Amino acid sequence: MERLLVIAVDEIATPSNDGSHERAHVRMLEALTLFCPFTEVVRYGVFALPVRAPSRFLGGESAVLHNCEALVQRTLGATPRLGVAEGLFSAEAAARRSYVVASGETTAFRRALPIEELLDDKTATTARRLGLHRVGQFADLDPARVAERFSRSITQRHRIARGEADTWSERDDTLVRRMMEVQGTEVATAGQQSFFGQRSEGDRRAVAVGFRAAERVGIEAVLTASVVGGRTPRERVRWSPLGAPESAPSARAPWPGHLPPPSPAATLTHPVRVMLRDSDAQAVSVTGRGLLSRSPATIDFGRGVTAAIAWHAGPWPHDEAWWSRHARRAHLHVVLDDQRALWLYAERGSWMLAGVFD
Amino acid sequence: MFAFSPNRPELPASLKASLRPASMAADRLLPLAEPWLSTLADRGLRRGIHVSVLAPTGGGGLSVAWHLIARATQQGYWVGVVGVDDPGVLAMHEYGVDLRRVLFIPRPRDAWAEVAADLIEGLDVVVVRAPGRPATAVARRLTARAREQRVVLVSVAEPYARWTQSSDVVVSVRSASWRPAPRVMTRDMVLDVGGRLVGPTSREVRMSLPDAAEWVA
Repeated sequence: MERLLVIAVDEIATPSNDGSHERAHVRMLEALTLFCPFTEVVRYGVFALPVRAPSRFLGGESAVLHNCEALVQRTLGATPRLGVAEGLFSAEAAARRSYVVASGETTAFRRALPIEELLDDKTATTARRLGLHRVGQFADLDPARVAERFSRSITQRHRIARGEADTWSERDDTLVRRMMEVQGTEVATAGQQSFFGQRSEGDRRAVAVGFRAAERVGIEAVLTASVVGGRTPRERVRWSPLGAPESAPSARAPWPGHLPPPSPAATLTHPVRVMLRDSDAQAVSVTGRGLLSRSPATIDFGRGVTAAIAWHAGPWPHDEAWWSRHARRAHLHVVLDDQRALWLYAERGSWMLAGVFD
Repeated sequence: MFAFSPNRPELPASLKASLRPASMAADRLLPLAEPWLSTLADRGLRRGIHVSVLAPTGGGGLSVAWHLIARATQQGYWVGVVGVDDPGVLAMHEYGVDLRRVLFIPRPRDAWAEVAADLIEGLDVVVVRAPGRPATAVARRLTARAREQRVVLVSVAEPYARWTQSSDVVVSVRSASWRPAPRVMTRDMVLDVGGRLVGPTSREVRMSLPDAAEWVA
Protein backbone atom coordinates (compact mmCIF):
# COMPACT_ATOMS: atom_id res chain seq x y z
CA MET A 1 0.00 0.00 0.00
CA GLU A 2 1.04 3.55 -0.64
CA ARG A 3 2.83 5.41 2.09
CA LEU A 4 0.68 8.33 3.18
CA LEU A 5 1.04 11.39 5.34
CA VAL A 6 -2.16 12.26 7.19
CA ILE A 7 -2.64 15.74 8.65
CA ALA A 8 -5.27 15.96 11.38
CA VAL A 9 -6.43 19.41 12.46
CA ASP A 10 -8.76 19.22 15.45
CA GLU A 11 -9.80 22.86 15.23
CA ILE A 12 -11.77 22.26 12.04
CA ALA A 13 -12.88 18.71 12.70
CA THR A 14 -16.58 19.56 12.91
CA PRO A 15 -19.01 21.14 10.42
CA SER A 16 -19.69 24.80 11.03
CA ASN A 17 -22.94 26.66 10.55
CA ASP A 18 -21.36 29.74 9.07
CA GLY A 19 -19.11 27.85 6.68
CA SER A 20 -15.90 29.04 8.35
CA HIS A 21 -14.55 25.51 8.77
CA GLU A 22 -15.36 24.69 5.17
CA ARG A 23 -13.46 27.79 4.06
CA ALA A 24 -10.54 26.72 6.24
CA HIS A 25 -10.56 23.42 4.36
CA VAL A 26 -10.50 25.25 1.06
CA ARG A 27 -7.53 27.35 2.18
CA MET A 28 -5.71 24.30 3.51
CA LEU A 29 -6.30 22.33 0.37
CA GLU A 30 -5.05 25.22 -1.76
CA ALA A 31 -1.91 25.54 0.34
CA LEU A 32 -1.24 21.81 0.45
CA THR A 33 -1.87 21.36 -3.26
CA LEU A 34 0.99 23.73 -3.99
CA PHE A 35 3.07 21.45 -1.85
CA CYS A 36 1.79 18.16 -3.21
CA PRO A 37 -0.76 18.11 -6.01
CA PHE A 38 -2.27 14.82 -4.88
CA THR A 39 -3.48 16.10 -1.53
CA GLU A 40 -6.98 15.00 -0.70
CA VAL A 41 -9.38 15.96 2.02
CA VAL A 42 -10.70 12.82 3.67
CA ARG A 43 -13.19 14.19 6.14
CA TYR A 44 -13.51 17.19 8.45
CA GLY A 45 -10.07 18.05 9.72
CA VAL A 46 -8.25 15.21 7.95
CA PHE A 47 -6.02 15.63 4.89
CA ALA A 48 -3.97 12.93 3.22
CA LEU A 49 -1.11 13.10 0.74
CA PRO A 50 1.31 10.54 -0.67
CA VAL A 51 4.58 11.19 1.07
CA ARG A 52 7.10 9.51 -1.20
CA ALA A 53 7.43 12.10 -3.93
CA PRO A 54 7.72 15.18 -1.68
CA SER A 55 10.17 13.43 0.63
CA ARG A 56 12.42 12.64 -2.32
CA PHE A 57 12.13 16.26 -3.35
CA LEU A 58 12.75 17.74 0.09
CA GLY A 59 15.26 15.15 1.21
CA GLY A 60 13.54 12.97 3.71
CA GLU A 61 10.22 12.47 5.44
CA SER A 62 11.14 14.56 8.44
CA ALA A 63 11.60 17.56 6.15
CA VAL A 64 8.12 16.94 4.72
CA LEU A 65 6.60 16.70 8.18
CA HIS A 66 8.32 19.85 9.27
CA ASN A 67 7.16 21.73 6.17
CA CYS A 68 3.57 20.55 6.52
CA GLU A 69 3.39 21.54 10.13
CA ALA A 70 4.70 25.01 9.36
CA LEU A 71 2.27 25.31 6.48
CA VAL A 72 -0.75 24.44 8.63
CA GLN A 73 0.37 26.86 11.30
CA ARG A 74 0.75 29.57 8.71
CA THR A 75 -2.58 28.86 7.05
CA LEU A 76 -4.81 28.18 10.05
CA GLY A 77 -2.77 29.15 13.08
CA ALA A 78 -3.35 25.68 14.47
CA THR A 79 -0.92 22.89 15.26
CA PRO A 80 -1.82 19.71 13.41
CA ARG A 81 -1.08 16.13 14.31
CA LEU A 82 0.86 14.31 11.64
CA GLY A 83 1.14 10.62 11.04
CA VAL A 84 2.79 8.53 8.37
CA ALA A 85 2.02 4.90 7.55
CA GLU A 86 1.14 2.68 4.62
CA GLY A 87 -2.52 2.95 3.76
CA LEU A 88 -5.10 5.52 4.81
CA PHE A 89 -6.50 3.54 7.75
CA SER A 90 -3.12 3.09 9.40
CA ALA A 91 -1.95 6.59 8.53
CA GLU A 92 -5.03 8.09 10.19
CA ALA A 93 -4.45 5.99 13.27
CA ALA A 94 -0.83 7.12 13.26
CA ALA A 95 -1.91 10.77 12.96
CA ARG A 96 -4.18 10.39 16.00
CA ARG A 97 -1.04 9.38 17.89
CA SER A 98 1.32 11.82 16.12
CA TYR A 99 3.37 8.84 15.10
CA VAL A 100 5.51 8.01 12.11
CA VAL A 101 5.37 4.30 11.40
CA ALA A 102 8.70 3.11 10.03
CA SER A 103 8.68 1.75 6.53
CA GLY A 104 7.61 -1.90 6.48
CA GLU A 105 6.21 -1.90 10.02
CA THR A 106 2.70 -0.80 9.17
CA THR A 107 1.26 -4.31 9.42
CA ALA A 108 2.55 -4.71 12.95
CA PHE A 109 1.28 -1.22 13.84
CA ARG A 110 -2.15 -1.91 12.44
CA ARG A 111 -2.42 -5.28 14.17
CA ALA A 112 -1.57 -3.69 17.50
CA LEU A 113 -4.31 -1.05 17.30
CA PRO A 114 -7.24 -1.42 19.70
CA ILE A 115 -10.32 -2.90 18.05
CA GLU A 116 -12.32 0.36 18.55
CA GLU A 117 -10.23 2.01 15.86
CA LEU A 118 -11.64 -0.38 13.32
CA LEU A 119 -15.19 -1.17 14.35
CA ASP A 120 -18.17 0.83 15.47
CA ASP A 121 -18.94 0.87 19.19
CA LYS A 122 -21.52 -1.89 19.17
CA THR A 123 -19.49 -4.34 17.11
CA ALA A 124 -16.34 -3.44 19.02
CA THR A 125 -18.07 -4.38 22.27
CA THR A 126 -19.09 -7.69 20.75
CA ALA A 127 -15.53 -8.26 19.58
CA ARG A 128 -14.17 -7.48 23.04
CA ARG A 129 -16.57 -9.99 24.55
CA LEU A 130 -15.26 -12.55 22.09
CA GLY A 131 -11.76 -11.82 23.36
CA LEU A 132 -10.71 -9.86 20.29
CA HIS A 133 -9.01 -6.77 21.74
CA ARG A 134 -6.65 -5.91 18.91
CA VAL A 135 -7.15 -5.37 15.21
CA GLY A 136 -4.72 -8.19 14.58
CA GLN A 137 -6.80 -10.72 16.51
CA PHE A 138 -9.83 -9.75 14.47
CA ALA A 139 -7.80 -9.97 11.27
CA ASP A 140 -6.78 -13.53 12.09
CA LEU A 141 -10.38 -14.73 11.97
CA ASP A 142 -11.26 -16.79 8.94
CA PRO A 143 -12.93 -14.47 6.38
CA ALA A 144 -15.58 -17.08 5.70
CA ARG A 145 -16.48 -17.27 9.41
CA VAL A 146 -16.71 -13.45 9.58
CA ALA A 147 -18.84 -13.30 6.48
CA GLU A 148 -21.34 -15.80 7.78
CA ARG A 149 -21.93 -14.00 11.07
CA PHE A 150 -21.56 -10.31 10.27
CA SER A 151 -22.95 -7.89 7.79
CA ARG A 152 -21.26 -6.77 4.65
CA SER A 153 -19.84 -3.60 6.20
CA ILE A 154 -18.11 -5.65 8.93
CA THR A 155 -16.69 -7.94 6.28
CA GLN A 156 -15.24 -4.85 4.65
CA ARG A 157 -13.71 -3.81 7.97
CA HIS A 158 -12.24 -7.27 8.24
CA ARG A 159 -10.57 -6.85 4.87
CA ILE A 160 -9.16 -3.51 6.07
CA ALA A 161 -7.84 -5.24 9.19
CA ARG A 162 -6.11 -7.81 7.01
CA GLY A 163 -4.58 -5.08 4.88
CA GLU A 164 -6.52 -6.18 1.80
CA ALA A 165 -8.59 -3.00 1.53
CA ASP A 166 -8.36 0.59 2.62
CA THR A 167 -10.72 3.30 3.79
CA TRP A 168 -10.67 5.53 0.74
CA SER A 169 -14.33 4.81 0.09
CA GLU A 170 -15.20 6.44 3.41
CA ARG A 171 -14.34 9.94 2.30
CA ASP A 172 -16.83 12.57 3.30
CA ASP A 173 -18.62 13.66 0.14
CA THR A 174 -20.81 16.24 1.87
CA LEU A 175 -17.67 18.08 2.95
CA VAL A 176 -16.47 18.24 -0.63
CA ARG A 177 -19.83 19.59 -1.73
CA ARG A 178 -19.91 22.19 1.03
CA MET A 179 -16.40 23.29 0.16
CA MET A 180 -17.59 23.95 -3.36
CA GLU A 181 -20.55 25.88 -2.00
CA VAL A 182 -18.49 28.22 0.13
CA GLN A 183 -16.25 28.90 -2.84
CA GLY A 184 -19.24 29.86 -4.90
CA THR A 185 -18.42 27.30 -7.60
CA GLU A 186 -21.63 25.50 -6.83
CA VAL A 187 -24.66 26.87 -5.14
CA ALA A 188 -26.56 24.60 -2.84
CA THR A 189 -29.98 23.61 -3.97
CA ALA A 190 -30.90 20.37 -2.24
CA GLY A 191 -32.00 20.87 1.32
CA GLN A 192 -31.67 24.60 1.08
CA GLN A 193 -35.01 26.24 1.59
CA SER A 194 -35.14 27.93 -1.79
CA PHE A 195 -32.47 30.39 -0.82
CA PHE A 196 -31.85 31.01 -4.46
CA GLY A 197 -35.34 29.94 -5.40
CA GLN A 198 -35.70 29.50 -9.08
CA ARG A 199 -32.31 30.71 -10.09
CA SER A 200 -32.22 33.20 -12.88
CA GLU A 201 -29.44 35.01 -14.65
CA GLY A 202 -29.92 37.89 -12.20
CA ASP A 203 -29.46 35.61 -9.23
CA ARG A 204 -26.23 34.25 -10.64
CA ARG A 205 -24.89 37.73 -11.28
CA ALA A 206 -25.88 38.88 -7.81
CA VAL A 207 -24.09 35.98 -6.15
CA ALA A 208 -21.04 36.59 -8.31
CA VAL A 209 -20.71 40.25 -7.32
CA GLY A 210 -21.35 39.28 -3.72
CA PHE A 211 -18.32 37.03 -3.84
CA ARG A 212 -16.33 39.76 -5.53
CA ALA A 213 -17.18 42.16 -2.70
CA ALA A 214 -16.19 39.39 -0.29
CA GLU A 215 -12.74 39.34 -1.80
CA ARG A 216 -12.45 42.98 -0.81
CA VAL A 217 -13.84 42.93 2.71
CA GLY A 218 -13.67 39.26 3.66
CA ILE A 219 -16.39 36.67 3.34
CA GLU A 220 -17.51 37.15 6.93
CA ALA A 221 -18.52 40.71 6.03
CA VAL A 222 -20.91 39.75 3.22
CA LEU A 223 -24.03 38.42 4.85
CA THR A 224 -27.45 37.11 4.11
CA ALA A 225 -30.18 37.10 6.69
CA SER A 226 -33.22 34.98 7.32
CA VAL A 227 -36.05 35.14 9.79
CA VAL A 228 -36.23 32.20 12.16
CA GLY A 229 -38.22 31.33 15.24
CA GLY A 230 -37.55 33.28 18.40
CA ARG A 231 -38.93 35.96 20.62
CA THR A 232 -37.01 39.19 20.29
CA PRO A 233 -36.14 40.90 17.00
CA ARG A 234 -32.51 39.95 17.56
CA GLU A 235 -33.22 36.30 18.20
CA ARG A 236 -35.46 36.02 15.19
CA VAL A 237 -32.73 36.90 12.70
CA ARG A 238 -30.07 34.48 11.63
CA TRP A 239 -27.06 35.88 9.82
CA SER A 240 -24.90 33.73 7.63
CA PRO A 241 -22.02 34.59 5.32
CA LEU A 242 -22.78 34.47 1.62
CA GLY A 243 -22.62 30.90 0.37
CA ALA A 244 -22.81 29.30 3.79
CA PRO A 245 -25.16 26.36 3.63
CA GLU A 246 -28.45 26.81 5.37
CA SER A 247 -28.37 24.35 8.24
CA ALA A 248 -32.02 24.34 9.23
CA PRO A 249 -35.17 25.44 7.46
CA SER A 250 -36.29 28.85 8.60
CA ALA A 251 -39.08 28.50 11.08
CA ARG A 252 -42.26 30.29 10.19
CA ALA A 253 -44.34 28.46 12.75
CA PRO A 254 -46.02 30.54 15.41
CA TRP A 255 -43.67 31.25 18.27
CA PRO A 256 -45.48 31.93 21.51
CA GLY A 257 -44.35 35.02 23.30
CA HIS A 258 -42.54 36.74 20.46
CA LEU A 259 -42.71 40.49 20.43
CA PRO A 260 -45.45 41.65 18.06
CA PRO A 261 -44.68 43.86 15.06
CA PRO A 262 -43.57 46.46 14.25
CA SER A 263 -39.93 45.66 14.83
CA PRO A 264 -37.25 48.34 15.01
CA ALA A 265 -35.83 49.23 11.60
CA ALA A 266 -32.37 49.25 13.18
CA THR A 267 -31.50 46.47 15.60
CA LEU A 268 -28.29 47.03 17.52
CA THR A 269 -25.84 44.16 17.27
CA HIS A 270 -24.32 45.22 20.54
CA PRO A 271 -26.97 46.75 22.81
CA VAL A 272 -25.93 49.93 24.57
CA ARG A 273 -26.40 50.54 28.24
CA VAL A 274 -28.64 53.52 29.04
CA MET A 275 -30.23 55.04 32.15
CA LEU A 276 -33.88 55.95 32.62
CA ARG A 277 -34.75 58.68 35.12
CA ASP A 278 -37.98 60.17 36.34
CA SER A 279 -38.66 63.88 36.69
CA ASP A 280 -36.77 63.94 40.01
CA ALA A 281 -33.72 62.37 38.40
CA GLN A 282 -34.34 59.10 40.21
CA ALA A 283 -33.36 55.93 38.40
CA VAL A 284 -36.26 53.92 36.99
CA SER A 285 -36.21 50.17 37.36
CA VAL A 286 -38.55 47.23 36.92
CA THR A 287 -40.18 45.91 40.04
CA GLY A 288 -40.56 42.26 40.91
CA ARG A 289 -44.15 42.47 39.69
CA GLY A 290 -43.00 43.55 36.26
CA LEU A 291 -43.99 47.21 36.59
CA LEU A 292 -41.89 50.35 36.37
CA SER A 293 -40.83 51.74 39.71
CA ARG A 294 -41.39 55.32 38.50
CA SER A 295 -42.55 57.04 35.36
CA PRO A 296 -39.52 57.68 33.12
CA ALA A 297 -38.98 61.28 32.04
CA THR A 298 -35.48 61.33 30.58
CA ILE A 299 -33.12 58.85 29.03
CA ASP A 300 -29.39 59.12 29.56
CA PHE A 301 -27.27 57.65 26.76
CA GLY A 302 -24.05 58.29 28.66
CA ARG A 303 -21.33 60.84 27.95
CA GLY A 304 -23.75 63.58 28.90
CA VAL A 305 -26.23 62.89 26.09
CA THR A 306 -29.77 62.93 27.39
CA ALA A 307 -33.19 63.21 25.82
CA ALA A 308 -36.68 63.82 27.14
CA ILE A 309 -39.24 61.04 26.91
CA ALA A 310 -42.60 61.95 25.45
CA TRP A 311 -44.33 58.71 26.27
CA HIS A 312 -43.53 55.11 26.91
CA ALA A 313 -45.29 51.80 26.55
CA GLY A 314 -44.77 48.64 28.51
CA PRO A 315 -42.95 47.10 30.21
CA TRP A 316 -43.66 43.61 29.02
CA PRO A 317 -42.05 40.95 31.12
CA HIS A 318 -40.21 38.40 29.10
CA ASP A 319 -39.09 35.43 31.12
CA GLU A 320 -36.59 33.73 28.90
CA ALA A 321 -35.68 31.25 31.62
CA TRP A 322 -38.02 31.84 34.52
CA TRP A 323 -35.99 29.55 36.81
CA SER A 324 -33.05 31.90 36.62
CA ARG A 325 -33.45 35.37 38.07
CA HIS A 326 -30.67 36.66 35.87
CA ALA A 327 -32.40 35.81 32.66
CA ARG A 328 -35.56 37.75 33.44
CA ARG A 329 -36.13 40.61 31.11
CA ALA A 330 -38.68 43.31 30.51
CA HIS A 331 -39.14 45.20 27.26
CA LEU A 332 -40.08 48.83 26.97
CA HIS A 333 -40.97 51.10 24.09
CA VAL A 334 -39.94 54.71 24.54
CA VAL A 335 -40.86 57.63 22.30
CA LEU A 336 -38.67 60.67 22.74
CA ASP A 337 -39.62 64.32 22.41
CA ASP A 338 -38.24 64.49 18.89
CA GLN A 339 -40.37 61.45 17.93
CA ARG A 340 -37.55 58.97 17.85
CA ALA A 341 -38.80 55.64 19.15
CA LEU A 342 -36.53 53.22 20.94
CA TRP A 343 -36.75 49.63 22.04
CA LEU A 344 -35.18 49.00 25.44
CA TYR A 345 -34.99 46.00 27.64
CA ALA A 346 -34.14 45.71 31.31
CA GLU A 347 -31.81 42.96 32.37
CA ARG A 348 -30.11 42.48 35.71
CA GLY A 349 -31.21 45.87 36.87
CA SER A 350 -29.90 47.90 33.93
CA TRP A 351 -31.54 49.19 30.78
CA MET A 352 -30.16 48.26 27.39
CA LEU A 353 -30.92 50.10 24.16
CA ALA A 354 -31.42 47.33 21.62
CA GLY A 355 -33.21 48.92 18.70
CA VAL A 356 -34.29 52.15 17.03
CA PHE A 357 -37.52 52.49 15.10
CA ASP A 358 -35.63 54.37 12.40
CA MET B 1 -12.02 54.23 -25.57
CA PHE B 2 -14.25 55.95 -23.05
CA ALA B 3 -17.66 57.34 -23.81
CA PHE B 4 -16.53 60.83 -22.89
CA SER B 5 -13.30 60.66 -24.83
CA PRO B 6 -12.96 63.90 -26.84
CA ASN B 7 -11.59 62.27 -29.98
CA ARG B 8 -14.58 60.02 -30.36
CA PRO B 9 -16.15 60.59 -33.78
CA GLU B 10 -19.49 62.35 -33.76
CA LEU B 11 -22.44 60.27 -34.94
CA PRO B 12 -24.31 61.63 -37.96
CA ALA B 13 -27.47 63.45 -36.95
CA SER B 14 -29.66 61.27 -39.17
CA LEU B 15 -28.37 58.14 -37.51
CA LYS B 16 -28.82 59.66 -34.05
CA ALA B 17 -32.43 60.47 -34.84
CA SER B 18 -33.14 56.87 -35.77
CA LEU B 19 -31.68 55.44 -32.59
CA ARG B 20 -34.09 53.99 -30.07
CA PRO B 21 -33.37 52.61 -26.66
CA ALA B 22 -33.07 48.86 -26.98
CA SER B 23 -35.00 48.13 -23.81
CA MET B 24 -38.71 48.18 -23.23
CA ALA B 25 -40.20 50.68 -20.83
CA ALA B 26 -41.21 47.99 -18.36
CA ASP B 27 -37.67 46.69 -18.38
CA ARG B 28 -36.35 50.06 -17.28
CA LEU B 29 -38.63 50.22 -14.25
CA LEU B 30 -38.45 48.35 -11.00
CA PRO B 31 -41.75 47.68 -9.25
CA LEU B 32 -42.84 50.06 -6.54
CA ALA B 33 -45.64 50.11 -4.01
CA GLU B 34 -47.95 52.97 -3.12
CA PRO B 35 -47.60 55.81 -2.28
CA TRP B 36 -44.42 55.98 -4.35
CA LEU B 37 -46.16 54.75 -7.46
CA SER B 38 -48.48 57.71 -7.66
CA THR B 39 -45.83 60.19 -6.59
CA LEU B 40 -43.11 59.41 -9.10
CA ALA B 41 -43.90 60.29 -12.67
CA ASP B 42 -42.55 56.98 -13.96
CA ARG B 43 -44.95 54.59 -12.21
CA GLY B 44 -41.94 52.62 -11.13
CA LEU B 45 -38.37 52.96 -9.99
CA ARG B 46 -36.45 53.88 -13.11
CA ARG B 47 -33.17 52.00 -13.41
CA GLY B 48 -30.01 54.05 -13.12
CA ILE B 49 -31.39 56.80 -10.91
CA HIS B 50 -30.12 58.04 -7.61
CA VAL B 51 -32.69 58.20 -4.83
CA SER B 52 -31.61 60.26 -1.86
CA VAL B 53 -33.38 59.56 1.42
CA LEU B 54 -32.77 62.30 3.94
CA ALA B 55 -33.74 61.94 7.57
CA PRO B 56 -32.10 62.55 10.92
CA THR B 57 -30.90 59.41 12.67
CA GLY B 58 -33.89 57.64 14.11
CA GLY B 59 -36.19 59.80 12.02
CA GLY B 60 -37.47 57.09 9.73
CA GLY B 61 -34.90 57.09 6.94
CA LEU B 62 -34.30 53.35 7.12
CA SER B 63 -38.02 52.62 7.19
CA VAL B 64 -38.46 54.67 4.03
CA ALA B 65 -35.60 52.79 2.36
CA TRP B 66 -36.93 49.36 3.34
CA HIS B 67 -40.40 50.31 2.12
CA LEU B 68 -39.01 51.57 -1.19
CA ILE B 69 -37.15 48.35 -2.00
CA ALA B 70 -39.70 45.85 -0.69
CA ARG B 71 -41.72 45.39 -3.88
CA ALA B 72 -38.63 45.00 -6.04
CA THR B 73 -37.23 42.15 -3.90
CA GLN B 74 -40.58 40.40 -4.01
CA GLN B 75 -40.44 40.39 -7.79
CA GLY B 76 -37.01 38.87 -8.09
CA TYR B 77 -34.71 41.89 -8.05
CA TRP B 78 -31.60 41.89 -5.89
CA VAL B 79 -30.75 44.51 -3.31
CA GLY B 80 -27.44 45.20 -1.61
CA VAL B 81 -27.34 47.04 1.71
CA VAL B 82 -23.96 48.65 2.37
CA GLY B 83 -22.91 50.41 5.53
CA VAL B 84 -26.13 50.05 7.50
CA ASP B 85 -24.36 48.63 10.52
CA ASP B 86 -27.40 47.43 12.44
CA PRO B 87 -30.14 46.67 9.93
CA GLY B 88 -33.43 45.69 11.50
CA VAL B 89 -33.89 42.56 9.47
CA LEU B 90 -37.16 41.66 11.11
CA ALA B 91 -38.53 45.10 10.32
CA MET B 92 -37.48 44.62 6.70
CA HIS B 93 -39.37 41.35 6.70
CA GLU B 94 -42.41 43.13 8.12
CA TYR B 95 -42.21 45.76 5.40
CA GLY B 96 -42.38 42.92 2.88
CA VAL B 97 -38.73 42.72 1.83
CA ASP B 98 -37.86 39.28 0.50
CA LEU B 99 -34.68 38.60 2.43
CA ARG B 100 -33.56 35.87 0.06
CA ARG B 101 -32.52 38.55 -2.40
CA VAL B 102 -30.75 40.94 -0.06
CA LEU B 103 -27.00 41.00 0.48
CA PHE B 104 -25.84 42.83 3.57
CA ILE B 105 -22.43 44.35 4.05
CA PRO B 106 -23.03 46.01 7.39
CA ARG B 107 -19.44 46.93 8.14
CA PRO B 108 -17.44 47.49 4.95
CA ARG B 109 -14.70 49.13 7.03
CA ASP B 110 -13.17 51.97 4.98
CA ALA B 111 -14.19 50.41 1.70
CA TRP B 112 -17.89 51.31 1.62
CA ALA B 113 -17.56 53.10 -1.73
CA GLU B 114 -15.57 50.27 -3.31
CA VAL B 115 -18.03 47.69 -2.01
CA ALA B 116 -20.96 49.72 -3.29
CA ALA B 117 -19.22 49.96 -6.68
CA ASP B 118 -18.72 46.18 -6.68
CA LEU B 119 -22.37 45.55 -5.96
CA ILE B 120 -23.52 48.03 -8.60
CA GLU B 121 -21.97 45.69 -11.16
CA GLY B 122 -24.47 42.94 -10.56
CA LEU B 123 -27.41 43.86 -8.35
CA ASP B 124 -30.53 45.83 -9.18
CA VAL B 125 -30.72 48.18 -6.20
CA VAL B 126 -27.93 49.24 -3.86
CA VAL B 127 -28.79 50.94 -0.58
CA VAL B 128 -25.85 52.83 0.88
CA ARG B 129 -25.41 54.60 4.16
CA ALA B 130 -22.05 56.32 4.08
CA PRO B 131 -20.20 57.23 7.24
CA GLY B 132 -20.69 60.99 7.15
CA ARG B 133 -20.85 63.02 4.00
CA PRO B 134 -19.05 61.39 1.07
CA ALA B 135 -16.52 63.31 -0.97
CA THR B 136 -18.03 64.94 -4.04
CA ALA B 137 -15.88 62.88 -6.38
CA VAL B 138 -16.90 59.63 -4.71
CA ALA B 139 -20.58 60.50 -4.82
CA ARG B 140 -20.31 61.50 -8.49
CA ARG B 141 -18.46 58.33 -9.43
CA LEU B 142 -20.97 56.09 -7.70
CA THR B 143 -24.01 57.79 -9.18
CA ALA B 144 -22.40 57.74 -12.61
CA ARG B 145 -21.60 54.07 -12.33
CA ALA B 146 -25.12 53.31 -11.17
CA ARG B 147 -26.45 55.17 -14.20
CA GLU B 148 -24.19 53.24 -16.57
CA GLN B 149 -25.07 49.89 -15.02
CA ARG B 150 -28.75 50.84 -14.75
CA VAL B 151 -28.84 50.21 -11.04
CA VAL B 152 -30.97 52.17 -8.61
CA LEU B 153 -28.73 53.74 -6.01
CA VAL B 154 -30.49 54.61 -2.76
CA SER B 155 -28.47 56.71 -0.36
CA VAL B 156 -29.68 57.08 3.19
CA ALA B 157 -28.16 60.08 4.91
CA GLU B 158 -28.79 62.77 7.43
CA PRO B 159 -29.90 66.06 5.87
CA TYR B 160 -26.55 67.75 6.48
CA ALA B 161 -24.73 64.89 4.74
CA ARG B 162 -26.70 64.73 1.51
CA TRP B 163 -24.68 63.40 -1.39
CA THR B 164 -25.42 65.94 -4.08
CA GLN B 165 -27.71 68.87 -4.53
CA SER B 166 -29.37 67.35 -7.58
CA SER B 167 -30.52 63.79 -7.08
CA ASP B 168 -33.09 62.25 -9.38
CA VAL B 169 -35.43 61.65 -6.48
CA VAL B 170 -35.06 63.22 -3.05
CA VAL B 171 -37.22 61.89 -0.25
CA SER B 172 -36.79 63.93 2.88
CA VAL B 173 -38.62 63.35 6.11
CA ARG B 174 -40.20 66.61 7.14
CA SER B 175 -41.93 65.34 10.22
CA ALA B 176 -42.70 62.07 11.90
CA SER B 177 -44.90 61.41 14.88
CA TRP B 178 -45.95 58.27 16.62
CA ARG B 179 -49.61 57.77 17.28
CA PRO B 180 -50.22 57.37 21.00
CA ALA B 181 -51.10 53.72 21.52
CA PRO B 182 -50.64 50.97 24.06
CA ARG B 183 -47.32 50.39 22.35
CA VAL B 184 -45.32 51.75 19.44
CA MET B 185 -47.41 50.86 16.42
CA THR B 186 -47.97 53.50 13.77
CA ARG B 187 -45.90 56.51 12.83
CA ASP B 188 -47.42 59.23 10.70
CA MET B 189 -44.82 60.70 8.40
CA VAL B 190 -44.83 63.75 6.20
CA LEU B 191 -42.34 63.44 3.36
CA ASP B 192 -41.12 65.95 0.84
CA VAL B 193 -40.54 64.14 -2.42
CA GLY B 194 -38.63 66.18 -4.95
CA GLY B 195 -35.79 65.91 -7.38
CA ARG B 196 -35.33 66.04 -11.11
CA LEU B 197 -37.72 63.18 -11.82
CA VAL B 198 -40.52 64.69 -9.78
CA GLY B 199 -40.52 68.19 -11.16
CA PRO B 200 -39.58 71.71 -10.23
CA THR B 201 -41.52 71.71 -6.99
CA SER B 202 -41.49 68.95 -4.46
CA ARG B 203 -44.63 67.15 -3.46
CA GLU B 204 -45.87 66.44 -0.01
CA VAL B 205 -46.58 62.78 0.72
CA ARG B 206 -48.26 61.59 3.87
CA MET B 207 -47.83 57.98 4.82
CA SER B 208 -47.59 55.78 7.87
CA LEU B 209 -44.37 53.87 8.47
CA PRO B 210 -44.64 51.47 10.12
CA ASP B 211 -48.30 51.05 9.51
CA ALA B 212 -50.31 48.61 11.61
CA ALA B 213 -52.34 47.71 8.52
CA GLU B 214 -49.41 46.64 6.36
CA TRP B 215 -47.45 44.25 8.50
CA VAL B 216 -46.34 40.93 7.16
CA ALA B 217 -46.46 38.34 9.92
